[in-house]
Amino acid sequence: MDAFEKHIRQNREELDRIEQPDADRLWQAIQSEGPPPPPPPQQGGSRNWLWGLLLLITGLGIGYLLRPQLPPVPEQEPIELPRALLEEEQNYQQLVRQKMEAINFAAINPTEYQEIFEELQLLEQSQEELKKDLPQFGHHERLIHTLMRYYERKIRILEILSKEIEKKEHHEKRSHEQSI
Amino acid sequence: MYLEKTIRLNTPSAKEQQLIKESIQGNEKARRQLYERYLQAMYNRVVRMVGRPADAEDIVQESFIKVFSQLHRFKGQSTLGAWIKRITINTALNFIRQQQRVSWTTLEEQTTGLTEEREDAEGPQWSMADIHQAIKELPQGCRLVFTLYLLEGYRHQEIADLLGITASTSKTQYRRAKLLLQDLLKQQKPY
Repeated sequence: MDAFEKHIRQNREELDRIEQPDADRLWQAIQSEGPPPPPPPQQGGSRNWLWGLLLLITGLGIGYLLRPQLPPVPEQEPIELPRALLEEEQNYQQLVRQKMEAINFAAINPTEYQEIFEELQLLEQSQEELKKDLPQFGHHERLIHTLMRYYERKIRILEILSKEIEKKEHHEKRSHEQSI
Repeated sequence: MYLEKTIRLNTPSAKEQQLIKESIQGNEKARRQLYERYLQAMYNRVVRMVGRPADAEDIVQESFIKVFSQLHRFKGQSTLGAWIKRITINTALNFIRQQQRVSWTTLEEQTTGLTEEREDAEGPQWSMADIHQAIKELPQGCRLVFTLYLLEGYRHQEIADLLGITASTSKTQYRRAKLLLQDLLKQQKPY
């Protein structure tokens, strides 16, 4: 480690105090995004537990008594956000498949378009990481939006690849014609 | 004795533990206090990684949303600052991967004309504010490696795994960043 690196390491903490972001504006933005509500408290004491049990027994009893008059119970709706996510994701996946089929993706030699394939690979890695994060962060709207943007980017990369293939084919055709 | 000291240093203080507890329960005041404790350090870290203040604000915002929604999972095995830092850096890396391709130009491409003597230049002649600004002006690939290695304490192999490059590329980019940084600083303050 030379003097320059030592100087930076020794004064490392100072580096984190140089810029002052607008704390109020950012806080408002965080609040408007609305962090998910806190998880239900773990401790409630035996009294809460007893009340819960009592309510459950009462509910079951009433349910049993009213059973003959009740209409058939509709199927419970799945949670709205993940279902919406699933549909949107399926649409994007279909678009990606169509783009891949159109350029016969499976038959392309990755070494010929190395940069594009590297970018695709990087994008897929990020997408996988984000998908792992989703359940952990409660399917937050912002993260879902980010996930959808990955698909949009993937589609754009496939379009670039398609143009590159066309260019290459055109070039090959012309050089073949010239050689004749 | 050493172990006790290490544990004391690496676990949240009583005051911080109280803030964490209240934040988990949804207390806005406690959340705001935690946010204010770490905002500036996180913002400065991120702005050095991404360069653009608007992007840094977006990343910090997303990071704190993650922090507050995940706070009940924080078990106090590290300091809260280290935990928030990990979330923030991961969010920044995801943003970078998603937004733009990181360019990994060769050392020769951007260091032509820079001499090895500059690598041995004295450090203390530049203020930390100058260094901070100069880091932000570095090309993205080498800037990332530089901040992760020298400022955040990641090893080259870890950086390689995070960025999908080899450890050797990480080392080359680091050296390039150092040369460019010294050159930028010399341009800022000629003597």
